[in-house]
Amino acid sequence: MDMEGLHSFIAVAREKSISKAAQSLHVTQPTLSARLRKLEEGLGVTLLERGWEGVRLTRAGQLFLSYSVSLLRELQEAAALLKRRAARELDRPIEAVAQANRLRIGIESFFYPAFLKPVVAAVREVVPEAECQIVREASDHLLERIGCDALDLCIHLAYKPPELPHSVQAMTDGVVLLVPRRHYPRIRDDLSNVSLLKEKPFVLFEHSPLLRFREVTEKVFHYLFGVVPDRFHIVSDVTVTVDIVAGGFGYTFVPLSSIAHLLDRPLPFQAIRFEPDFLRLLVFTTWSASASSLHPVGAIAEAIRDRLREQAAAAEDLTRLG
Amino acid sequence: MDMETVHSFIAVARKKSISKAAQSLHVTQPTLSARLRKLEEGLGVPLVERGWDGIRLTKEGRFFLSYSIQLFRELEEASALLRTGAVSELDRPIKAVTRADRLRIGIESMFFPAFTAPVIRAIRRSNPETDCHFVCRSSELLMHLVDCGGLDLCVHYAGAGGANVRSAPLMDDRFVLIYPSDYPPVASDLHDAGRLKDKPFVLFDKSPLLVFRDVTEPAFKRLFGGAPDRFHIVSDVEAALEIVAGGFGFTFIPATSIFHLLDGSLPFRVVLLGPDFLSMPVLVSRPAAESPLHPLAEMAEAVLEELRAGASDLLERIRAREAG
Repeated sequence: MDMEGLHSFIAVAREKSISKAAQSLHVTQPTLSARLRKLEEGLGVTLLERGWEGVRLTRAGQLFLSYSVSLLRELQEAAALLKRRAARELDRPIEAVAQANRLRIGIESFFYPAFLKPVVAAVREVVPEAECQIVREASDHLLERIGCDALDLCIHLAYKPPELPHSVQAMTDGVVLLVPRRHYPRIRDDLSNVSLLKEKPFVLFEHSPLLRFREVTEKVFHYLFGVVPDRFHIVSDVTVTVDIVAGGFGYTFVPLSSIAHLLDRPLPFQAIRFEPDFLRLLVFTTWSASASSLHPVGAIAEAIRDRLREQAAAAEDLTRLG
Repeated sequence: MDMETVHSFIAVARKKSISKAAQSLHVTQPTLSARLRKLEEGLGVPLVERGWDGIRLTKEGRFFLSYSIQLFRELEEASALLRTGAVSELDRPIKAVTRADRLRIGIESMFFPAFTAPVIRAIRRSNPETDCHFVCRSSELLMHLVDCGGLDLCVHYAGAGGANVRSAPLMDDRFVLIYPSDYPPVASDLHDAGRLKDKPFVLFDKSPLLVFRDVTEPAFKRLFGGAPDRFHIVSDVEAALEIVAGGFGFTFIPATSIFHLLDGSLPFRVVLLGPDFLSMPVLVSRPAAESPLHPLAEMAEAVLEELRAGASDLLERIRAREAG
């Protein structure tokens, strides 16, 4: 897979024609076709359907399109920023992004809106003068970043304790079903009429949560309905999810902690705790050993743990099991 | 630049050694060194420093590492999803994501917390049975997606639009200065804004860093006589708002980014900047071609109407908050 392949694929999607795309890229048609073939072979799927009236994206092509646009864009951005640096056009803000002694903190996407406040408060308490960088990622990617020193500390989700030396458990988390109050039937706390939701669209997270939580999500569907539902809204973050459910447009289930920031006022939806025995969610704070030389990461991790526990206890009180 | 090279660079960063990285990738050291050299030449900057005790990332290398990890990961994810979708016919959630008849809606990430709810109201009103896919990214990326048929509807800042896009104006967005309530107060004409200079500024990385430079650079010069010394780095508006609300830093941010907070008491102080700093048109766009699946013209109209109703007095409402 190379950038040329991505670029070619995007051009074909835009022009809906191999010949027009070849023209816009200033290459010959056979060259373009070869690049596309190489891309498809690398991915192991067909991205384009060549019909007599032109070329169409397959379903896989549709999915890959949004990935390839963002991949290419990010790479171009990184290159543009680095080139400015090389040309000495660099200014302090860009320099600041590349600076090394900043405290870099990662938060699992599911918990991001809910954990920002306690994390900022804990960091400010322990190192009031520190400069920080905050990153939102899926848990396995956060740990990967810790592994190559691209992050100093992260708050992540796990099914079992990580086998890492620098880690403290913050809490165990529950699961909560979120159902609109408007336009939806009232679901009983014991879930006895939960099957009323089966025909409604479920709010599903795309990208990595989809892959990582697939088995769990399917198990929960079977636990609730006996089958996997038919209709889905697709989102990539908790804030949009909350808006969809509050707007009476779909329902979902999420870790309880991911709505902890909403519990200080009346919830804009029904929130029903349930505890399938196959599901145990643990929340950890893990840090990189090499970060310790610059920042008191152990102390920061403990302060974060304490704040998260406080928040979790409050959430527990507000959403008792039905 | 290819993915193999990017992967090689990540391996070197992780192992902190060319030889160990080469081992883990099952290639020879010269092959790996050549790949790195090619990557550095392509980008025009050195990414690693070769010292006697091993290898270290340069500043540029650290900067690029963050992008590399993200790039590589997105690609792996896309391949994994594609393969799963291809292999298992039974996997309904994954098939759902790859289904093409869903309405794909893009919202600029600077104002998605404020604009998602009204967009949903509008869509729901025009067709309550529509299943949707929401994408919250930078305007540039969203425009690109509309242009190549990857989105059906999008709310974004004006930029270089493609030939395949039809747009209608929603409003002009401006910038606000937001700072913690326990910082020294700043007058609404900003003549004393210099007192914030020694506080950490909350800076966006990735594309907003490039896009916002046009605002932040002149603003820094005018207000402080130069860029501040200390920065927190964030990649989204949610983190920026929490840092300011938590009393940890100040920033400039689009007025629409705090729109959803105006109903309650603001957790920070705000000053609306004049249009001389920057005025950014917000547009609602859709593909020029008709969609066989959704009445896009009608839906775009409903979204415009709903957003206009809420956003028309945004700047006045912020100005009213300046005093408090």
